[in-house]
Amino acid sequence: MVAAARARMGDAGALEIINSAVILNKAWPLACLVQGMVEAGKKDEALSLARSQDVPLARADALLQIARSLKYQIETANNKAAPPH
Amino acid sequence: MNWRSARLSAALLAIALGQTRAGLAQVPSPIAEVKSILHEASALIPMIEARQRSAIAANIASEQTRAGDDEGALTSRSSANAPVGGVAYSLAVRGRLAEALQLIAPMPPGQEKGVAYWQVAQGLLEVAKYDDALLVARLISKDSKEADRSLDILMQIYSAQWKAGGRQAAAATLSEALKLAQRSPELQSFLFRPAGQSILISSRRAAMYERIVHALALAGNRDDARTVVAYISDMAAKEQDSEKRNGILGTLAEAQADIGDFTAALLTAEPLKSAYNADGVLQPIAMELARQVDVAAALDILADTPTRSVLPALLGMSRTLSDSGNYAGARAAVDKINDPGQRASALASLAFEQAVKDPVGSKVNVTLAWRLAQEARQGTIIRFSKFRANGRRRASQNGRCGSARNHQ
Repeated sequence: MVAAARARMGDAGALEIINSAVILNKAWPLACLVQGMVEAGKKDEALSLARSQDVPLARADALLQIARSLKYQIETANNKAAPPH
Repeated sequence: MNWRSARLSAALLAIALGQTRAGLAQVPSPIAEVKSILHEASALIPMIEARQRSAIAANIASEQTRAGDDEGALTSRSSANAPVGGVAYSLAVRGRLAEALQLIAPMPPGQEKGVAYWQVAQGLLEVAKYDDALLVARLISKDSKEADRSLDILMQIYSAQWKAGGRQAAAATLSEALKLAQRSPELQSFLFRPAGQSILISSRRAAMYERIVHALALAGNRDDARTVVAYISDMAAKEQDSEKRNGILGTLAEAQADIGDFTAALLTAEPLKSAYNADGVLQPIAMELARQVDVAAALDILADTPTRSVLPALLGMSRTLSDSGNYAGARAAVDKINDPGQRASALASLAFEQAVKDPVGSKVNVTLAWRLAQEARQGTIIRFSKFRANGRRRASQNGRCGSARNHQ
């Protein structure tokens, strides 16, 4: 939860906690971290971080979150281009 | 231009176009990239631990459907026998309600079917298709055991219609919700009756009325909220069995707090406090008092609550206040939690919720949470080695980052 909160704040120290041994479930804070990276325009770094994960759940969840964040950006751009009536 | 220079120009143009096409091929369109990343995630599903496979597969399939990759979604869902609700939700958002309902229809009646319909309704609410959401609420209510879920959707539709200014449509939805509460089979339940002690026997119908009151009060329709509070009061007056009546009165106190009548709520709750299972009677009153008026007064009410019930009450209060943006109030509730580990968890949860809107406060709370967590962990290790007792608990997590836009 601490790692997820720090990730959501865009705090780079979150990765240190995620990579430490005290975290048993990395998937959720990692998803928060990559989401913030995509929002900050660091998509390629987020993909690299996701793909570097050994645990399949953490890797899949991070990739899912990156896809979600990218799709959100596409939908936001589409809505700006054609505002709903 | 002679034929030689014309041929040269054509060749150069062809090379330029070829390069452009090659360049385009290397950079996929944004939605194609989303599909490709989801495909990559989907390929990992068989490698994921069995107990976690189904949930992640359902989430990936849902996103694939939303991105327009039906084939990929089917593969993801099939690879883990994942529930259909996520895909059905995305189909509903994309305007493919008939397909969403076809997916759910063959399922046997029960909780899983109710949840899948509920997800479809959430999608329809997201795109403001209230009439379609009503249709789904009616489908859920066909299973009387799922009446509470149907009521939840009806009141969500009501709130959205009221907020959008559709008062007539909202009134019709409210009427449907009240009829559902009236026709649903009454369930009067309790978990345990200790010898020689009186208990509160809760009433499902009264609880359904209270949830209607709560939604009406949040929407700002105080007149109708008061009318429904009176329904609960009438139920209590007509009930002959004292334990069943006291159960209804406990719910009445909660409804009175929902509409801000705290004096009446405390008066109603006072005689019930001696019942064996009355711990929870004051909690919703304190929660509403904190949300609507005064956190300190609410915490004073909880001071009278038995120790075993204080933690859930404080956690609930913190969440409610954090949801409404009252981070200082939420922090006051968290500070009353005695156990350092639980306090660390609650502080981190609060920091997570406030990270976007109040990053400064979030940083303070997360720093303290981390320190407390380390202290609590140290304490647990000492206790573990001394008493061989496993005292560690991890906060439950929903498996995804809780950004508001990603809540489905």
